[in-house]
Amino acid sequence: MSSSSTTTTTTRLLMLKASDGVTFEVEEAVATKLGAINNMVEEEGSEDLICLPNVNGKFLGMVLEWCKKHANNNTNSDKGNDEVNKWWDKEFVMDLDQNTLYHLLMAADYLSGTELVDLLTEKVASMIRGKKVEEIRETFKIKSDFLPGQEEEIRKKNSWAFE
Amino acid sequence: MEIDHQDFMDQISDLPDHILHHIISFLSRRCAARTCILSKHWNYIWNSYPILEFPQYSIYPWRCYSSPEIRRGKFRDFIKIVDSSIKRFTPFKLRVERFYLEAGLDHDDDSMLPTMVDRWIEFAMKNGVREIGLLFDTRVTESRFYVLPETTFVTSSSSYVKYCATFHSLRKLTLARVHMSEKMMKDITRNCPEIHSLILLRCVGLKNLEISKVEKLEVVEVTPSGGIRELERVDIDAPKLRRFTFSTGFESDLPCSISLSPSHNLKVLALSECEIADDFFQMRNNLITFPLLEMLRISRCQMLRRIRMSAPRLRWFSLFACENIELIEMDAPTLSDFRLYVYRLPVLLLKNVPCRLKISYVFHSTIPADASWFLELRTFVGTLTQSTTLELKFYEDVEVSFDLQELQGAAIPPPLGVEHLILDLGLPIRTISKDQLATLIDGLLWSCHPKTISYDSCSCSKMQIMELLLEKLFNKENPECCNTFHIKCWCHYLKSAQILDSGGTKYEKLKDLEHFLDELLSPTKGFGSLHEKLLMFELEWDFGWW
Repeated sequence: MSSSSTTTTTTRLLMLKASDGVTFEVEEAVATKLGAINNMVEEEGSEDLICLPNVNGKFLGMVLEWCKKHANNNTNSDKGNDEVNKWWDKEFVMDLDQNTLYHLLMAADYLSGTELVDLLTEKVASMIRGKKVEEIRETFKIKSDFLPGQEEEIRKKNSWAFE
Repeated sequence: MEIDHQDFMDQISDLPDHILHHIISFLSRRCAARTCILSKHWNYIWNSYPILEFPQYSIYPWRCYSSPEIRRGKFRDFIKIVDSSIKRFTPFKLRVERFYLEAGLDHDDDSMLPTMVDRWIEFAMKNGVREIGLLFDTRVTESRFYVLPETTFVTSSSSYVKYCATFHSLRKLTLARVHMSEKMMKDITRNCPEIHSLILLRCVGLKNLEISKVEKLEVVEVTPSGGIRELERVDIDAPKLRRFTFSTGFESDLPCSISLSPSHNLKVLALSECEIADDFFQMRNNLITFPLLEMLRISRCQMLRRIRMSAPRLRWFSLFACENIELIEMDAPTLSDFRLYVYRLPVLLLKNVPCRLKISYVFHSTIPADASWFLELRTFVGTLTQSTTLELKFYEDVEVSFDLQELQGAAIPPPLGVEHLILDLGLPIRTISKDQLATLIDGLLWSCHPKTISYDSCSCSKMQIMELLLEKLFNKENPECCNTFHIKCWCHYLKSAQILDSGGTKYEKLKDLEHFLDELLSPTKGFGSLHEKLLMFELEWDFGWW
């Protein structure tokens, strides 16, 4: 620490422990992409081991993978970064199944990863966009629990949206 | 294995409310509204959605309803939609993230709208709204406005604590065609400490717009009203101001006086038709005036004579139709776009400007293009240290003459060239004779020595310019023009010329061109294709014997 050379900057390593006991060693600059971790790190006297009882190891791993890409891309030369990030984000959400999407969203939300939440919610929105009501129900396996006639009544009240 | 089972269940509906709200925020209002019949839970999600946005013309696209009767009916329906959405949202007692209303004032025959809007705003303010947008428009008369209630931003003593908390949330206020008052602006600056952006479009009721001591204000955009122009003065003191634009879309006799306290955070500054004096852009003791400024656009500011500034981050600069500009002194090492649109040639002192300059000069009927004017142009070209595109625009009838004898005894600067010259003849051909055009071309070649020439005009003048350029640049015989006195005309320095058509073909000799010209001039193919065909002349100069 005392004599960090000009070529390598010393970065603090954090240990993140998931609900199932799996631990991840990540650079502070990567982990602090998550607002919740950033807040913990900024608290004085914080320890290097952070327990995250609400996130399972599989999804924490994926969240950290996303953070790492974005942290790396941001330190590289500035131009074209947005493009790289966008391309990489597209790849990241391309083949996510709904179960993974759900857990990732819960994890990202819990860890206050604002940008990741944006990315994932937009992905869900893209699965709704342009679809008929029946198709949306089919996509997400949503069961209509309205009483007979209720749906028709609501549809009438919001008729402008169905014209 | 448990996870695999869940793959066949509806998990999306189990996401927390705020995430589901976030999801539908990516959808159009119409598409989002349709989710209300998916299930009871989704119905609840839609009713409690804290973004209350009502753009009238996307809910009811006007073009679909031709008869005024139907339009009136749809307008009433629209008001009902807004009102019932707000009524459905109210019981949840949630914060309103955004209340945005876009409505026309023309079909409000029963004058229902104002009282309803009053009520909706009161509701939004009580629910700690973060963003308000009230955008009204009218196609019938310029004098219709929505009058914002005087007490909208007033803290009433009876419910002081409650109101105080709600005003603290307002971050963005956008108003279009709204009648306000100076007192109301004071209330906003005093009672909305979090306000970050203030956008006033065609609003009335303000003679002076005074914004002072608003710590968090970053964005101010003002477009004064077109019909009644009453705004005389804008005074802004906001230390964090990042963006200020004052734009008018028309010419008016009442320029607005602008005063901005120094903000070191200023990134975007756009001013049009303002009274700003020279000290606005003066270097003070070589201090950097605008350390973060990235964009500067000034148009029709007739008081401005001098700009002297250092802007280390400036990327876009444009100065449009400021008739009295005399001097532009600028140190801008990151500039990527420099545009001038002038009626007379200013002195340019540019240091560290890495980009090509685009300068448009517009001829004015009061300033004849005579020999001394061409000398002025040649002197101006001599001061340009950057590669330059010079565009000359003829929109008015201008007297053209170019007699080098008139310049006997004058100091003639050495010939220097601009990169590209564009001749824009916006005039019908009858107002400029062929002789005048020929004289003009002689004068321009003598003062600008361009590496390339192109032209832009109606098709008949295009033909004439092209013929003249061909004649002058290719039929160059031993010039006898200037044997009698010491000032040389341009012909002496022209080494070679060639033509480049828009397809990329080059013609170096007139003979090669013949076929091309035949085609161009033939009545069957010619004139039509001439509009698209852009000819560019490439010239090579040799100033060796100056």
